[in-house]
This record gives sequence, C-alpha cells and structure tokens, in this order.
Amino acid sequence: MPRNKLVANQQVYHIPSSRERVSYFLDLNEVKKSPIHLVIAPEADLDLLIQNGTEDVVIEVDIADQVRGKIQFAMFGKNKNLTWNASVGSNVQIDAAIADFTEGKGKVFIRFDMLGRDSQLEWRTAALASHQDRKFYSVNFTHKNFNTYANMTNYGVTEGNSSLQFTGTGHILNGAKFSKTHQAAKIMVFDEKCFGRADPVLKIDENEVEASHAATVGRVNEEHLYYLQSRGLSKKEAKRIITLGYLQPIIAYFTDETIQAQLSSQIDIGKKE
Amino acid sequence: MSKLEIKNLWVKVANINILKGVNLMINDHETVALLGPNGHGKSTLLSAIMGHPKYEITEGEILLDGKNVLDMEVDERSKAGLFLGMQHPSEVPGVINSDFLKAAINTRREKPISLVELYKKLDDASKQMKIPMELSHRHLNEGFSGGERKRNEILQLLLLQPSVAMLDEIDSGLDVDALQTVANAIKKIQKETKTSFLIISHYARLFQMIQPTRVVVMINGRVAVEGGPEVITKIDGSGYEWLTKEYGISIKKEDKDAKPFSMNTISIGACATNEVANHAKK
Repeated sequence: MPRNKLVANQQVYHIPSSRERVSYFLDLNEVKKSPIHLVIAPEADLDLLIQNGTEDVVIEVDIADQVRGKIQFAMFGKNKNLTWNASVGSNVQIDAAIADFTEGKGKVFIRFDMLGRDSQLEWRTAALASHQDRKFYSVNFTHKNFNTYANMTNYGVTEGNSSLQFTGTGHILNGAKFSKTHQAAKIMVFDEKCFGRADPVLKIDENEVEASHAATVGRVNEEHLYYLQSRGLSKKEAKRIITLGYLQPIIAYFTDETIQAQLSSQIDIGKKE
Repeated sequence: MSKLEIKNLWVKVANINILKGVNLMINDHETVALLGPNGHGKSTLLSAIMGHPKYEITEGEILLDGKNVLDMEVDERSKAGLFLGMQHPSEVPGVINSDFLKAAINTRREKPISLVELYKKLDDASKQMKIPMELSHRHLNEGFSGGERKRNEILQLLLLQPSVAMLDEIDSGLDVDALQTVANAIKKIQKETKTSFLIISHYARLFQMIQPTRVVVMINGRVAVEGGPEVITKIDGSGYEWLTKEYGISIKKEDKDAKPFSMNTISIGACATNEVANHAKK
C-alpha cells in the first residue's frame, strides 16, 4: 500500500483521527519555509515516515490525546540540521526511530514535552558518522504529568575522522509522579582519529519515579575483526558487516522494506579509505 | 599443489619470545599432527601463520607456494589458501552467520554466489556437520554451545576449501558423536581434495580417526621431534617426559601466572544490538 503523502496547508500538515492504522509520508524536500507545523488529531493511528530534505528544518508538532503508532525518520544524502519539538497529550503511545546515514555536518534536536498523563514514548537512534562527518544529537524527554513513560536508545558508529555525540536528557518535573524515564547510549569507535561521546542527563524533581541511564563509548573488538578477516573478508568489509549488525535492529524497526534496504545499503564504512 | 614452509620463525607476544626458531614444512596433501605440552608455542605458531595482530614476527619466513605470507594481510592469507579453525572462535553479535558465510564465500569468487546456491551449500554442509540449519540464521557463534562452535568452524572449512587447513584443538569440547562428525568431515576432505592439514590436539583419539602422515612435537618454542604416528602412541602412553630421557630435552613448565592477552582493554562488541532487538520484541 502506498503511503499517503502529507501536503501542507500554509505550512501546517494535518493527520486526522482514524480507527485503523494509516501510513503517511512527509517529504522534507518539499518544505519551502521553516518552521513547519504537524498537527496530529486525537485518536489518530499512524505509521509516519519522514524523509530529510536539503535544507535545515524545524518541525513543531502537536500530538493530541490518545494518538498511537510509529514515527520513523530516514535520513540520507547531505546532512542538515533538524529540530523536532513535540508536545504530547494524554494516553499517547508512540514508537519513534531515526536512522541517520547522512554525510557532512549537522545537528539533530529532538524534544518531547509530555504534557498529558499516562503517555508512553519510545525513541531509537541509529547513526553512522564516517569520513569527515560531524554529527550531534540532543534527545530530550520532559515529563510534566502523572504516570508518563519514556525510553530512548541511541546507538552510533563512528569511523575515519568523524565525530558523533549523543546527549540524552530525561527530566521529570514536580507533579509528574509515577513517571519513568530511561535512556541508553552506545557508540562504537572504529578508528583512532574519530571521536565519540555520549552524555546522559537525568533531572528529577519528583519522588516516586523511576529513572536510569547508561552510556558506553568503546572500540570495536579487534578479535571480531580478526575473525572475520581470517575468513577472507577485507578489513573494510569486516567493518561494514559489524556496523550493519550493530545498527540493523534499529533499521529493522522501519516498517517500509524499501527504506530498510536503502538504509542498509548506506553503510559504506571504509569505502573511501 | 600447496606447500607451506616455515623457516627460522621467531615470534614475540607482549614482548616475550614464544617461538624461538621454528622450522617446519607442510607438503601438499599431508596431514601433520602438532603436539606438545601446554604453553610451548603450538597455538602461537598457527596464529602467527594466520596473521593475528598480537603476534610480532621478529625473524624468519613463512612461505605458501613460495609466496611470502608475512607480506599479506590476514584476509589475503585466507584468500591465498590458509584457514585456521580456532580453539576459541569469536562470538560476533549482530553479524548473522549466513551473511558472514556468504561474504566469506564471495571473497573467493568473481561473481557473487546466488541465494539458491548458497542455501544448497549451507544445507549440505550443515547436514554433514549435523548442525541445525537454523544456526546459520543466528548471530555468529553467539549462544552456540562449545561443540556447535567447533562444528561451525569445520563447516566453514568445508565451504571455503582452503589449500592448508590449520585446526587448533578442534576436538576440545566435543562429545564422542561430535568428534566422529568432525573426523568424518576431515577424512572426506583428505579423500576428495589436496588440502593439507596441520592439526593441534592433546588427544590420540582424533588422530586415530584421521591418520596423520607425520607428527611434529613442539617444545620450548621450537620443533623438537618429528616422526610418524608412533610418536602419538608414545606421548599418549608416557606423556612428554620420555623426550627428556631419550633426547635430553629439558621441558620448561608452563607459566600459569601469565595473564591472558586481550587486544582491547576496553571494547564494545555489537552486543548492544541485542538489547534493542529484545526490547523491540516486547
């Protein structure tokens, strides 16, 4: 089934309520002026694919009560800055993921303000920084109401002379009792000249909440490379297959098989060595 | 025709000399049993031949059909015809076994293998090694039992068809049936191809099954004795002490306090993927 392409009405995109899941496509290449607004109506059930464009873009998002579904960002080509500011209503259930295989320098700011109660958000990042790329990610969940849940998982690979940074913030405000915020960040570092950094931040202003964070930045296991090479794979191919294995679970989260294949084929570690 | 020549090979690990002038020749279609007490350089020799980066060759030569192996990267050695069935095969989480095998096979072909042909080869080899086909869809060696890992090494040997196969304690951790399966696979290769074998084992049983043509004993980082299968019988019956009595060789005790070597003090595997994958399943 082809996706329903979202068309702007004076820079505002609307997703209506629906009883069944509906697939949408938002092509940021067609955005003429930033910021844009995305309004998701109450009880919408969506599978939204967003593809990056060639310019910086800011997306202001209003997620109404009882919205559920998936939001997927597929990022190819030249890297540009992306900002996503979402306000979230009550009883929302969203699984979101970003797969970033862009080239160049760019910053991604993701923010979910959880205004309503009883909402659940999952966020996953798979980012590859190679060659001379400079990538910075800030993912922020702010819990402002009762019994909200957020979990972010940021995974990245950095190689060559690239740099990759993740900052994840979970903030539980006063009044957001029984909320839970969790985050994990892992960066695999292939080469001596590349840079990886993960900064988890937790701000807790309420009692009776759950919060956790984990961050790991480490080199690829040299024994793994050796094992793969001992079967004839070049170092480049060994790196590629390890990277694919590392990021594949997040790529697999994408519902569109064409996008999955496109993302997998973007793993070009070592091609320019 | 394949000939592997090792000439006066000196190898250091963590600045300690392990091999101290090894001379050894493996001729075409030979099966050489490599024996010796623990810690005397057998595994070091095989790893150095394969090109493990922790081993520093300080002197000597390794030639495969006259070509200098030491000038080759690890993958080039593999493509040149060398294979090492490892004592402790790495778990590589995230990397699907069949994807890895396909990539390994394709390194030896001009045209990539078709899915149909790959499936047939995997199916045949899996049946021969009595490995469930499902293992090929799992992450490489992850969660495999000790026996499955060793059989997976031999499965790779069957698929890659090297000219010189080195097997490092491939029989350790195998039960009686699995040992027979591994031995059968080796015998089949011996019969049907010109592959040469250099095989380390501490047990006579495997050697009884595969009938080595020659036996080499390494002591103190050198080849101390060469002979026929009768050497295995003697070692199996009397240990290595008879070498001292018969040849006057003083056998150094293994340094049990030596710390195991790791290339990475801190490293990250692809294990992170599991958490996401498991989470996604929920």
